[in-house]
Amino acid sequence: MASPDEAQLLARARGGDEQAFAQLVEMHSERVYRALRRFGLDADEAGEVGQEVFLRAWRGLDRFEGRSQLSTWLYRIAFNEAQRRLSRRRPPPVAVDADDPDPIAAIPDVPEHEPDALALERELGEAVDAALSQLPPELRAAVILRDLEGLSTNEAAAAAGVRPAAFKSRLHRGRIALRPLLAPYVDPAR
Amino acid sequence: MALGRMRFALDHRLASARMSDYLDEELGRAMRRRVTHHLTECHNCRELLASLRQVLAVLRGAAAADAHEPVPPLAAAVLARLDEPA
Repeated sequence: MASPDEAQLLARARGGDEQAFAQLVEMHSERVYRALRRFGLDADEAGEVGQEVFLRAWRGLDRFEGRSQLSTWLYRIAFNEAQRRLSRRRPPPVAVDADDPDPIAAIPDVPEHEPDALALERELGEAVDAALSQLPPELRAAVILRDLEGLSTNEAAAAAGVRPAAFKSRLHRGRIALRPLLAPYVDPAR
Repeated sequence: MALGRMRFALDHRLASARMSDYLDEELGRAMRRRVTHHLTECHNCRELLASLRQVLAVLRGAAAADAHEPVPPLAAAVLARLDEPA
């Protein structure tokens, strides 16, 4: 259920109040943007697709029944849009340059004075992104919703559009699949 | 003896399939007790539980790190496009 403020804004937006809808976008844009990034879009794509998500929501406000959270509905739209964008991507070109065979040149540049903690955080984030990108979309969405976005099982199942039991199965399979992919980053002392 | 092996096999299947629920504390009391007991006698399931805990710790660390990335202002851009045809 929406909070009282959100419910009022929703009612006004349904009546065509664009400013009210803009406030809803403001309230939810961070959540939507981060979910799109975690789903595998780069920063530019996430910004573009984020706009599409809210435009779709605006056009479909009449279909949002308010039985679930607005955020749950937005996650659903976001994952559909993200999947659409990812499926349109061309495979990245393989960089082969006979004149420049130096493999060191292919390593992304890290600012020289970046603090260690930030560099480590960035590396961890990239490792998780890379691991998630190897999961099938429905398992990836389950892990993102539950373990990164922190939704409850019921909320996450609603966002994924499946029953809680089916969602739990996806989540478990997703976590299992991540074990070998994240093995270099786990702390064996835990 | 055969009964004990059969119970172990059944509990092992159950624990392997429901270990995430165990970790998330989403099992009923009886089921939780059964998995807890199985963990005392099954090295593989203890390893599975430990590895899932480690995966969750890595994911949570990454989630915290993500919070540093700036989010582009979407509201103004969306507002400017609300009248676009679908």
